[in-house]
Amino acid sequence: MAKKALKTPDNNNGIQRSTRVKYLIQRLTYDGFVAHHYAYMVRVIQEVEPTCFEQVVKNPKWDNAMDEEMVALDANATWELVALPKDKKAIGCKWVYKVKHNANGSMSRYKTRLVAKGYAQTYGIDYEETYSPVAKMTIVRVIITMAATKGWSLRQMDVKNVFLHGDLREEVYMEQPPGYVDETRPNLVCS
Amino acid sequence: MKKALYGLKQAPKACSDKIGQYLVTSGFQTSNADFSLYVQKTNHGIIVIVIYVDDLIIIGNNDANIFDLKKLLKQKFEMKDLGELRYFLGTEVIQLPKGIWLLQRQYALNKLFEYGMASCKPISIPLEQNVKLSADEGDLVEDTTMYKRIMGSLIYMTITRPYLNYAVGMVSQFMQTPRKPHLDVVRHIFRYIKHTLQCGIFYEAKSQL
Repeated sequence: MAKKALKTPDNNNGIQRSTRVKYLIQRLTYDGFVAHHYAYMVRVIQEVEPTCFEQVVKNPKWDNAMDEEMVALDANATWELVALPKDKKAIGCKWVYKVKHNANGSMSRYKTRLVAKGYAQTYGIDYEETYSPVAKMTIVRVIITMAATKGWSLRQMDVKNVFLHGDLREEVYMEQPPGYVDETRPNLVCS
Repeated sequence: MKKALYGLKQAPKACSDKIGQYLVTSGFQTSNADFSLYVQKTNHGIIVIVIYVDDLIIIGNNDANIFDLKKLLKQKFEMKDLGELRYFLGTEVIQLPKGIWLLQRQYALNKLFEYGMASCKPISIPLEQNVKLSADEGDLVEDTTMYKRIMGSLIYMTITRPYLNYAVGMVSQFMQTPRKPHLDVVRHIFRYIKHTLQCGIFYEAKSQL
């Protein structure tokens, strides 16, 4: 069975197959799973994640999660509402919804994140440099070796909402987030 | 917008600059070897920080210093203290008095499942003897994207499996035009990975650097 799974399908009888990426996982069945794995998968599949704001209107569990994210954004003073200057364009934004699970398959929480549609940004206008260094795995290994040989303590930390901490140098205008448009000033944009 | 937001093109740069600036003002120096490496040397000891987007690894020879630094970082960036390093980018880190183990057990297992090799038969050698792979013999593999994806996973697995380097290097030469014989070798490597799931790198305590 395993051997079959890695094989990419042959062109049978001259039938034209689509050239789309075929995920090998499609060839798996649920039959081989033990009961608790099966139960976990059913759980994961049951809880469908919405893809846009329109699907979650008046759904209290997602509302709470979005409120939480808005509180974080407000606390961070991410933007203020201004009128859009004539020669500028505002980029859109959307909500992304994610159901988080515990290791045993139980639902842990509903998480939402507001993301800007960065693909609408133009180089030189609302963004310039984007390169950001990340640690190379070799460096990580060297650090771990140092900790081991010298007997130093080796610890880990994690930044919550990491991307919200950065200060923007460029002028970026964004539309108000869906569902959280200021009723008294609906025409303003986030700046 | 005053602050970065997920999705903006410059968001990763903006936040890594911010954390970097903060560390520099608190007496850290950026390493010339890797810009995500920060070192602070004082009379009380040394602290080294590695940053990977939102994950930080901290080592140092003075626990009191590290404690103070962590308190500062927690206030400034809402950081969460995860305690001892246990899991980093798919690598399990097991700290024992004898030394430190690096393992990619779970990652390898996930990949075996992902590529449909979970039920393969383990084998105790990474390659057949005298394998000769050629760039233009054998049927073409239809899904080259998948082949490249598998190569990426294999290369990542060489982090804690240096002994796979030769075999992986050999099959990754054919990413341009992968053929069935290459895929056979890949399958063979995965069977070997299944055999060596528990293997990793061990750094012995108090040995020479």
